[in-house]
Amino acid sequence: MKDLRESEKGVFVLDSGDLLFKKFVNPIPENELKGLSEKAHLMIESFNLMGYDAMGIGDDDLTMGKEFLLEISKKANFPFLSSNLFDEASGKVLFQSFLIKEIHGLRIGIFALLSPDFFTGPSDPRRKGLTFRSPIETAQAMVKELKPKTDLIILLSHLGYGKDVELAQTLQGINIILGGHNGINLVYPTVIKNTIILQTASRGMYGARLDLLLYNNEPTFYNSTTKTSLENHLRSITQRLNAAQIPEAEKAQWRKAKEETERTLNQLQGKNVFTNNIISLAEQMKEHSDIKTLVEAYKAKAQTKENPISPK
Amino acid sequence: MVNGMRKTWFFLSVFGLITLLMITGLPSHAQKSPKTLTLLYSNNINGEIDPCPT
Repeated sequence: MKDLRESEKGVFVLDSGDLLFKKFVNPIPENELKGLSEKAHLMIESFNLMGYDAMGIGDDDLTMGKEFLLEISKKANFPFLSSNLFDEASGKVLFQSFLIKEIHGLRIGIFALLSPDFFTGPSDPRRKGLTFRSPIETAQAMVKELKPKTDLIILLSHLGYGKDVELAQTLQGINIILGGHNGINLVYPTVIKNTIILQTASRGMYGARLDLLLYNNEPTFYNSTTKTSLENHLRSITQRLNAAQIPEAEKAQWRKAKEETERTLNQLQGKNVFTNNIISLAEQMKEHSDIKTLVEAYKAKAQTKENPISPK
Repeated sequence: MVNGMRKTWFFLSVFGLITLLMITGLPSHAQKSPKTLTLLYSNNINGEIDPCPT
């Protein structure tokens, strides 16, 4: 991450929610509250050190309630985003509803959505003091707001994969959906009507990296694996054509296939391209020394609480 | 006389070069260089502090 930040490339680091706590269990045992709070603070401190740029809110981030989340958001060096989550009492948006950042002359708009469907009902303690606006209507309003001001729109979605697909099918203008909640590894991202849908597995096993090469201002992207696959196909056809004993009729078919593949490859020239990589954090990422120190201190403290040394 | 011709040739050459650049534009690789953006993203970390939980 540090190497990338120091490189010439524009880098943006984002999280689409369910960061702070494990899956919500109701009620939370009283004796776990302090430990949960300490863990959440550790997560935020680590994200500060990693230089995250923004985070969307997930249902499990509300495990300790609205006030706790508002309080801990003040410790973050990056904004918490949520475009459809409102404070019931004031009627105001709970967190910043969008963010616009410019990197290398590229204006990027980011907004975030949380599905009310992930709560068990009005009595779910996580939604106490909160109201939700329709994710679809909010998305429409956000795209209308951001489109004239930006070159690229990213949604930090906590709607679930099915709703992400539905949204991409019904609403034009969102270029990238960074999904969450389901924790599925989309190694080959789904592309629907010019929207790239991404998501990784849960519990910190994987991080992911999306590289974009923008040759023009068109909102369309193709997956670099498509080009690689076509190039491999072309090589294979050429080998067949060069084989000695092939009947002329078959050669004619291969020539036609070669022409079609070359035409498709030519059509990709000058178009915007993306490459997605899911990264196994345990195998490929170096430990960040400061974060390691924080984690070790947290673990030592937790261990002491579990096995206190009895006084002599 | 010779100096005058040299000056004329020099100015003609500069004028020709500028005209050529105006017609053909800047070198094409400068225009084709794409903008790059890298997104590092995560989701559902769920308070996990060990990178590969068992």
